[in-house]
Amino acid sequence: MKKAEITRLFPAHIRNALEAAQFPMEQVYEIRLRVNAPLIVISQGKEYFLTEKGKFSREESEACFVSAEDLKETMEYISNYSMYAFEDEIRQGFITIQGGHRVGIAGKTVLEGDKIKSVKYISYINLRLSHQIKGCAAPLLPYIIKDSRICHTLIISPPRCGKTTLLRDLIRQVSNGNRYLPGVSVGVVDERSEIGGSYQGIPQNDLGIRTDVLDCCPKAEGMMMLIRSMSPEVVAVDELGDYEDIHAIESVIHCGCKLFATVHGSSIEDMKRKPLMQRLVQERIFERYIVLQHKDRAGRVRAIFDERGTSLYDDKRKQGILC
Amino acid sequence: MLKAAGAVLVIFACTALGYSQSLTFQKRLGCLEEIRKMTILLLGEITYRREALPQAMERVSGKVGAPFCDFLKEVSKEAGSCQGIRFSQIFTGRAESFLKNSGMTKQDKDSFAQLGEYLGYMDVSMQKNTVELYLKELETEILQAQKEEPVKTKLYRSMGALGGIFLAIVLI
Repeated sequence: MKKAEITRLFPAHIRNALEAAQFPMEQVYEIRLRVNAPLIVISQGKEYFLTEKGKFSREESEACFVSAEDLKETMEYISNYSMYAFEDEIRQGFITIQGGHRVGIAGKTVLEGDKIKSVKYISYINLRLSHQIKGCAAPLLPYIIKDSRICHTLIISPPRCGKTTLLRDLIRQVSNGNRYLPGVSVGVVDERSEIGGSYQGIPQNDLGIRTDVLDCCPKAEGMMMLIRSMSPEVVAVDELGDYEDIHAIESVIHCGCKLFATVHGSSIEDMKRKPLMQRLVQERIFERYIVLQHKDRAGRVRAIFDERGTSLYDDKRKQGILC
Repeated sequence: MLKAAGAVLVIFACTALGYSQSLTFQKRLGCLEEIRKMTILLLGEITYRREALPQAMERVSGKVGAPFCDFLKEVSKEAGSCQGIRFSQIFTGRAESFLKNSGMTKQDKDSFAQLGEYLGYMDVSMQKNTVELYLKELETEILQAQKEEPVKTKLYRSMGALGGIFLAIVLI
């Protein structure tokens, strides 16, 4: 990740502070800007205030303060001076920028009927940096490959636990081939450009040599489109959520493709409680469930289960499987 | 003999001045028409293609004449280089340097610079409304200038020649 890729998004004084910073950008997970509040950087799971001189501090008084004008300027740079081009994304509350980084926004919503039309007076920005950790999915491969075939896999994780990073590496390893299986073609539906971090259609992250990416496409439509057009052996999607997604999953599975997906949650029990996911669990659609946790660092596997809920791996009994 | 030569020179210089004034007026009209074309094309890029401003300007630059072709290229280049300068500043700065000898009035330049304040801000409908409002004002200016053109051109030219003759007589 290039430092300039991140610093260019901010107004002069924050840009200077970030440029003067001694810490590597790879360790930064989030940069939070709130109106009339100190600038906060989340690095390796810990929260710091960033000083004007580019140092991490625990003292709020030393922090670089963010004004309403700073936020307005930041939005200009983030949107490449073209807020209108991100109208749909702003309505959803986030923008994905070059490099696959996600910018979450909050402010005053503009309603049209009962639907959100736009967000104005953007007063809160959360820049979540996309990380590419090559090889982080390697320890999982023996669990998701059974009798030389890939299992339908669901990664369950609370926010900020590295599910997209893990999914990205899983895609790369399956696409390039690994010690357990030769490479297979993978179709990625990257609705929010977070997996591939595509810029003008070109993925900025390494997704492997046999991967086709459908960028900025709704998952449900994208999955079917990929199956029809690119005949992938594995289809990968991030953050399942809608009824349409679940419906499309069934189609993918019945087409003979394998599926890698992620979902927000912290256990299989959570999935059973979600009306949309419940049926998938009960019908044993997924053959592997990988549950992540944020212990010490992001991307730590808490447990792996098979379709019957039998534990294949438990972090309490065994340490250091991942990353 | 010397007096006659001087008188001819004065008449010639004043006539040329009148011609130059009329050409400036025509140049202004040409610029306003070119701005109208450029703005309509930009609006299309924004509303239909949803292209980001630097890219939209780059595309439109190939379809408009001087000095707007270079103006758009420069603004697009500077905005694309992400040097932490606000778009309105880039737009105004470049407009000042490129429109220096365009024959446009201060009011023309101010309203053009104001367009830069709103470009890129908020959603497509806001962009559309703002740009259309500017186009309406521009249209009024163009119509006014077109109406005045034959009269003013004639006026500047004859005033130049007659002023020259008058000055020559006074000097002799």
